[in-house]
Amino acid sequence: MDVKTQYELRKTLNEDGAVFCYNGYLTEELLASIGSVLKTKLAADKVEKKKIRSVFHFFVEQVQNIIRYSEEFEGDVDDPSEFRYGLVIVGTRDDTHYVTCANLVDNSNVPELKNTLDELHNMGDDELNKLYKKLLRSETPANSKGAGVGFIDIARKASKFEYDFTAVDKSSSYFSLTSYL
Amino acid sequence: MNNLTIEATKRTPAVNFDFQNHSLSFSGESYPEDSSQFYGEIISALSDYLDEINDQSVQVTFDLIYFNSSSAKAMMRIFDMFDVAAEKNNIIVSWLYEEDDDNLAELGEEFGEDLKNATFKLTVKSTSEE
Repeated sequence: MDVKTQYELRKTLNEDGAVFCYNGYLTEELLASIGSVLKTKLAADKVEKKKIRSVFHFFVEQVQNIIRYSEEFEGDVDDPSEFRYGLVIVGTRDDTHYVTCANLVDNSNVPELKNTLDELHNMGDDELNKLYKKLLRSETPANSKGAGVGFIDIARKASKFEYDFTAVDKSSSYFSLTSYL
Repeated sequence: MNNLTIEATKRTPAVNFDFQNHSLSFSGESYPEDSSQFYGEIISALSDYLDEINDQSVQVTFDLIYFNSSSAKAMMRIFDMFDVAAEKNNIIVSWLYEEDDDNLAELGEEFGEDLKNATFKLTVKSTSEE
């Protein structure tokens, strides 16, 4: 990438209010380190502590989604490592903090994922809170290291959230989700 | 039974179960890599302890700064365990939060409102400890 293209990329991100952007392999250690940089930066910007914690919450839930579910990872399919590829952007647009996370997903999982998010998107707060509790009390899926409640928690805590998919090739799609404080 | 002490890390809370004095506490941040693994040991120790006690006063303190949704799942389980144990014991669960952090207070209330037997106390922390 020549210097001009690099600068264009930087400019695009800056115009979108990005304070932080990472595209590459993510790990839990990196999550903690980036998270602490993020908290420091927001505190330096005099953002209220309560808001910092909320941004941090969306950041953790969304990055852990990449680490657990991105289709791009090192290692075997049978024994996938938690070393997965994704995009993270944290920023402020029109005075609203946002967290964008994106990664590749298997095309076969797209309809179910989209359906889940559509349902959450259409639910009111009461319904979301009830579903949240119900899921906290349900069995965790065997293949999940998390609890499968991340999206619901984002839906109930964010002022709004947006998501979209774009087909990459026969096997995968690019999935992006943005939550707004 | 032996006390359970786990030091805090960046991603996991300090856990201090003083079973002799019937004082149990969680403090710090919680977003472990594998929450079922991290909380598995804690839940198992807790379950052994709760099976043993009878007509006992127990003080439980949650002094958390942040926890993710998979930790919330473990906490829900822990709250439910305390509530069952409170049928035969006097269990007081204190949930601490900083004055300006109504998010954390709401999260505590969500757990607390389901307790039927245990006593739930939402408590403002006097000073910022961060």
